Amino acid sequence: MTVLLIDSQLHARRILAAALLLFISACSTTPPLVVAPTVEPAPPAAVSIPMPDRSVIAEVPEPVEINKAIVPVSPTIIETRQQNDAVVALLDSAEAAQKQGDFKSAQTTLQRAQRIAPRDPNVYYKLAVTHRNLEDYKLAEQVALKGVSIVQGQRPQLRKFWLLIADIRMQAGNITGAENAEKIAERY
Amino acid sequence: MKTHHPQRRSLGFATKLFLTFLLLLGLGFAYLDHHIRQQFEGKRWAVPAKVYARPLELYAGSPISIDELKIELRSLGYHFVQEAARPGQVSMSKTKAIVYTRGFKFTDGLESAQRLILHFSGSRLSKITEYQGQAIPLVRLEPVLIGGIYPLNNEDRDLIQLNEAPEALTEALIAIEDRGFYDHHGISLRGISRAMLANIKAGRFIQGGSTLTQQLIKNFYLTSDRTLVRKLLEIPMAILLEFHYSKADILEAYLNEVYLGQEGARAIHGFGLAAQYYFAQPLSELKLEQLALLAGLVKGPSYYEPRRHPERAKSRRDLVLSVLYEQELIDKETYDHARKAPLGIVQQASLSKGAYPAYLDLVKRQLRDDYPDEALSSEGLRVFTNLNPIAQNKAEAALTKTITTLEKDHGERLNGLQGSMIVTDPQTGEVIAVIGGRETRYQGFNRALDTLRPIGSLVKPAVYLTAIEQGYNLVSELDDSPFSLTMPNGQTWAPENFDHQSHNYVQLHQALAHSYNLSTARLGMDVGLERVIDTLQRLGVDRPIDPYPSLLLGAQGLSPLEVATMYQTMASNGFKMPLRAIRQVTDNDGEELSRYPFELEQTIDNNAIHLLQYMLQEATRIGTARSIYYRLPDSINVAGKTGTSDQQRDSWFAGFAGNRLAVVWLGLDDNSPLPITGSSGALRAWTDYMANETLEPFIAAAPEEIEYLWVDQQTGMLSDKQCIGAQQLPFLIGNSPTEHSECAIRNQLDPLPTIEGWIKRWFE
Repeated sequence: MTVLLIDSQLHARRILAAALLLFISACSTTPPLVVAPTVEPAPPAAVSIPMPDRSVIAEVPEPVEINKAIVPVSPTIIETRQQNDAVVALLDSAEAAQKQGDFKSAQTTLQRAQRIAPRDPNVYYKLAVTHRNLEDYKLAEQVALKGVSIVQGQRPQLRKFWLLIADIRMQAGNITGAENAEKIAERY
Repeated sequence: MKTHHPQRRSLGFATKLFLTFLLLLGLGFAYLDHHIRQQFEGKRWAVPAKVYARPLELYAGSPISIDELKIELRSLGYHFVQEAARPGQVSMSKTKAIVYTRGFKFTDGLESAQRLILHFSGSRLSKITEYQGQAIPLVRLEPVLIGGIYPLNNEDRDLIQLNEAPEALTEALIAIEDRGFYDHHGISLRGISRAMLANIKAGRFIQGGSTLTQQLIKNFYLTSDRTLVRKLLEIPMAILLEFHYSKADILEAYLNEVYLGQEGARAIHGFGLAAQYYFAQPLSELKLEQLALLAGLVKGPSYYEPRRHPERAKSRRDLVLSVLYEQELIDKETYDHARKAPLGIVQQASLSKGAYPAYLDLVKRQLRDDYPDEALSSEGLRVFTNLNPIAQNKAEAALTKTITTLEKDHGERLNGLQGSMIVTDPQTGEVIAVIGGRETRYQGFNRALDTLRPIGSLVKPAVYLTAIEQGYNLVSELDDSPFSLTMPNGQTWAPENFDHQSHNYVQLHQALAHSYNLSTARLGMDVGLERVIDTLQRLGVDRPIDPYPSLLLGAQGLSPLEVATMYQTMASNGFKMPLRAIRQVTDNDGEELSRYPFELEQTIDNNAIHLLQYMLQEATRIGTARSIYYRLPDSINVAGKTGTSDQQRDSWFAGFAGNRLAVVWLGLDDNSPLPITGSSGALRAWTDYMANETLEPFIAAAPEEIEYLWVDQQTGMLSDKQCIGAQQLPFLIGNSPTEHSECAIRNQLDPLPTIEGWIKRWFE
């Protein structure tokens, strides 16, 4: 009952505010200073979150006005914006090692990159490829799945990772699994 | 004729005897020769495995403050100087450091010695350039040596090559011990007579006539037996050794073999290790007077022990210096300067060696799965670990401070309070720090690995995860009323809430955040003990668990390390990963022998883990761990759970931010009840540690199949953003509440006006 009462008071206050707003805007040419409460959800704001590699954009819904969020709502996307030079250097050198067929060295370098930027999908993608090349298919698939969990909401990345998983499963001789992964990739 | 016979016979006998003697002598020589060559060439010193901390990675944006860098460089024995001009030196101002690195050969590449300029801004490194100003993306410092794995005779050494030994050292050594080293053939008659003369002159024994070669033979082949035969063997062996090997070979062997000190059971051999042991610096960086002291110590490492007998050591050092001056190896100015210098011995052999016994213990256990003891203690292996000394020091400070404060607050009831702690990287599963007890340098019982204490409410996430997997959602209603259960053995189990109250009906997420026992126990019985055990195993608990109902409230004993494994899986989105202390093992030359890569296995569904992570964040925001936010800023999301065992015998907290996961246990070794809970004990240490770390917020993107909906906190019905008491909660799409709260219905029928809508309506 109390809740209801407060709620209707609130409602009335808002109407009053809106009326006031209308009154002000009718009498003056300056833009209104009073901000009316929004009902429609605003488009998700892009917020950058302090990360070690400063490379992340998160899309989080509009902050709540009446009910302060107890736990911040999880973003639907955490996107890599720009890579740290250190990580770029490491990814490059891993790539070079990979090309020379030195997969172990690539693995060591990628793990260094992972410690610095544990949310960079490229690290997991390349690490999964390395394990695939080392013919450790089980670990390759798990690393790729970790990549999937990191790129939630990023459709092109999800597609890329699921195609990699399909490839890993295929090489491991798991045809059905590979087909399933391909189907998932097609969704993106 | 006859008379000659005996003579001839005796001559013949003498000749035979002589020939036999010669033959025996020859055989003896041949044997000695063989023995010497075989030993010398095949000589592999028993070199204990060296264990290193992680190398510090420096790059723009790396989370390290200038003070933390200082700690790292101190551990590495850098000299703090006005101007860093040589490797191993650093100069520092408030926000800038010029570091001349020593370089290190890693298996994946050489990190060469170079002069770096590091700019800091607060808790981060903001910029890193070469001395000439060119920006550098990434540099690794050399790793801190944190310990060794010693053989039974406890001989420890750092092997060096002759060209690594400073000239001043070999000069001093030869000048004081064996002036004729480069001229003699193993023994020096001149040396012996000179020594005798000097001894007669002084009226006491001040010089020995042994050459360096003889000393080496003594140390090398004749071990500790000092019999006459051995003493007699010394001379021919020295000659043979000289016959076969160059002076350089012999000198190098000498430098590595010689005994130079004793630390408890550990025998310090060779100049490489002695430099670290007495000066905490590499041999190549020692100054003249320091080298002179080391050369002087050869004569009697225990008599001249510079820590115990600094005056004796100083006069011995000065004697060496004066000999160098007399022989015109140094000039007057250098001599005067060196003589005035203090001994410069560090109080502690190394800030880092032996400082982390609990971590080293974990390393040894993980190594023993792959290497026999002998290989570890003798083959000079290098073990690269994940220990982060900076984080370890912060964790130690937080834990010991909390224990001391709690003891002060609670008096006698907490006397002798113990604790342990594990810190990991939640993203990679690497173990960053381990504390085995409040005396962090004490090499004894390792509580982080070996205490099995009931984990209390730390088990609850496994119960709730099982429920979610079975179709419960965050607002599912749980019964929190008292109940009792008769167990197969006839005993009654009647759990109680911490506040001895029932909360009637509660929503699932609230029951976990506030750690209600009754509703949890009922929920666990509903989902099934076997299923909860299965979840615990998927979270990473390996040991067999008995399906007793009391398991649901944490009667099961686990070690802090096992708890960390469990929470690691929760932190890393349902990927179980072995907690790794070791990165890599190489041989003495840096060739890789084994690696311990990032391994993982998804054992918990993405969606389920997301819902659990939400609840664990609720526990830290408004639940039993909410005190965290008195210390941590709002922007740092953390998730975790308090744990208090039955009768308050154990105080636990396990939780994680984006880049750190830590588990803290507090309790008494005799298992008596404590006047503290998980929140008022372990959580304090956890928070204190986290508050001193450069944290990243815990953040996980919501999986596609998860939607966040507004629900009413009282009823769990769907609500509206504009309704009082509404909270946004995550749900698996298709498994959300279906009923709407009154306020939500009203808002739907009569949505609050937008301005345009309002204006439109006005004119309608």
